[in-house]
Amino acid sequence: MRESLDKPVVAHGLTKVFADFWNRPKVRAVDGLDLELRKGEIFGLLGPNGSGKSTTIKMILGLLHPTGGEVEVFGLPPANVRAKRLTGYLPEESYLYPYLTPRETLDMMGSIFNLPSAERRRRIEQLLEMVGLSAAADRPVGEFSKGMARRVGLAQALVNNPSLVILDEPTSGLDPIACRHVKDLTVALARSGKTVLLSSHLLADVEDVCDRVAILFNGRVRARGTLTELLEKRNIVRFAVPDPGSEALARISGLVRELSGTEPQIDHPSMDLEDFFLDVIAKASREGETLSGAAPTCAPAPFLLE
Amino acid sequence: MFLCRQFLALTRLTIVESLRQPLSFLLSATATAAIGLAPLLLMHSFGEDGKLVRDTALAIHFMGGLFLSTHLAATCLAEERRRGTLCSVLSKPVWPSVFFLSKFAGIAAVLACFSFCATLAGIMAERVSEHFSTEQGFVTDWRAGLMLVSTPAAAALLAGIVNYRLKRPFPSSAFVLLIAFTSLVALSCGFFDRLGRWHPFHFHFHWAMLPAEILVGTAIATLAAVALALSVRFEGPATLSFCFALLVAGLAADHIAGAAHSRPLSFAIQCVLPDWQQFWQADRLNGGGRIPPGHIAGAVLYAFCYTSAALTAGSLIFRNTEAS
Repeated sequence: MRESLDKPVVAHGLTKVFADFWNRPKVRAVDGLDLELRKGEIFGLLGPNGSGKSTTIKMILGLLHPTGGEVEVFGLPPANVRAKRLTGYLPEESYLYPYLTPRETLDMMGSIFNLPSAERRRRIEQLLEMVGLSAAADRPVGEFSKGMARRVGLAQALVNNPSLVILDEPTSGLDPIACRHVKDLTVALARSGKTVLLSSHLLADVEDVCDRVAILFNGRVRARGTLTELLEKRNIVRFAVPDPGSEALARISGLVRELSGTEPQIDHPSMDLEDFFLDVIAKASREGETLSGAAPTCAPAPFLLE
Repeated sequence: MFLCRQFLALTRLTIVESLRQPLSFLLSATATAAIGLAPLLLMHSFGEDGKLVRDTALAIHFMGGLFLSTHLAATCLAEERRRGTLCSVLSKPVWPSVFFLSKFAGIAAVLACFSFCATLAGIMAERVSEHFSTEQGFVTDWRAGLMLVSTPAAAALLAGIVNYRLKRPFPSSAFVLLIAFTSLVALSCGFFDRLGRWHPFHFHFHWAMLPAEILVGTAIATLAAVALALSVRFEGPATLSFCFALLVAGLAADHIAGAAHSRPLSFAIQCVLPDWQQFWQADRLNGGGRIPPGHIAGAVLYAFCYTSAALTAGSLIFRNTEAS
């Protein structure tokens, strides 16, 4: 059986029922899920806590066995090691060895992928630089804050330069600057041809980066499609112009009222808080203020874009 | 080749993790110090030089090793599950059986280091213990004894300095230094005899203890395999309880099997319960006796078969386990 790079993930009727000690059905975590990821897209898996997002991801990774339905990763069963070689996974809680340093963690993960030692060293340096942990590379991960551990988790997910990147709550525990960098990185990974499956309940994050989304509730898909398909209000039109002055506005309003018979809403668009926050920080950085702890994250590691 | 490298990487990870657990160093240091102290505190000889010290050293090696092996094996997989690192590693191209066996290899390597320290300490303790000399009557080798007892403290002190200056993790540095210092002390003891006279290098050790120590080390590795297999399904405390029960039942294996009324049942009991008596051969060393090579080979073969069976069962269960 050969892998098919054009079909990163295909799932039909995927179902997972967790059983109790006596093997009686306890929870139906995922119920008849159909899913198809396209190469190079960013697919968002949305849903409240307990909706089945992480269970779906673990079945895609072969960590959980489906009770019903089937799933293929690159045309292979998900537990197949050839499929896993092409996959990178950032778990929900980073899941790292507390006694190991980031460098040792990445080295160990690189060894599992059988990367030659020179290549492993090159990638480790680039990844540490990318996640802003070069200065903390030799401290045990157990001493890290949640945000710093998250960065190590992200780096280990990418050490094999995967074709399919699965990110479970990637921005959880990160500061807004790091969040923005992770989102930029996600987009850059997709631009370089990788497929990204992103699970989150932070809707703004998903909205910023995803091409398509599926919304899960109680293990079932309740809505799916591109963001434009799902969010666009086709019966309302908005146009923005530089402030034309009150007299011109009154005339435009009158014209709209006369032609459509409805009262138009006029307001000033506002910047979103994330952009405003990043502006303030960028300004402070330009004034020479520095951060202690992890350094800001940088551009994607060059090997990821090769 | 790929599997081999992966196996080595995961084994190395288990060794690093186990060595960085403070308990590994604490138990090894305590065992070494306790074995070293035994000849300095025990003055009874029970009619034979070094007998009580030999028994004490082997008992400390056995009990310390059993505790360390069950602790490492029981917490190894359970901790991986609890921390979620099991998910992280198994989401990579890792065969579950390779992961499971590498865990055992890592634990066995750490136990080998523990046994190495305990064995050297035991052999040295026997030399330190009160022996009759025609020149000076009963003599205790205080010089070698004090050197041996101070080894754990010296290892901890130097590891502290290394940690302060080089920021190397304390527990693993201390463990490695303990091995190095114990070996150095054993070597340096070769340059003087029990009476403290200096002369060209010659070990004044009772080497017949070595096979007994090896058998104890083999028993420890066997129990580690059982504990690891149990920990696939059970949490740490449950595994520890099962192992303790198995230890007690194994000590009475002959009696239990003998009490069974049917031959097949008796045979089944003998197969399931590990026969620890095979590994406890301290009594054979009495009166200058030695453990027959045939018995050593038989016990090692028995341990190999029992360990293989436990690991095969554990590996099969682990292969079908979900990492949720």
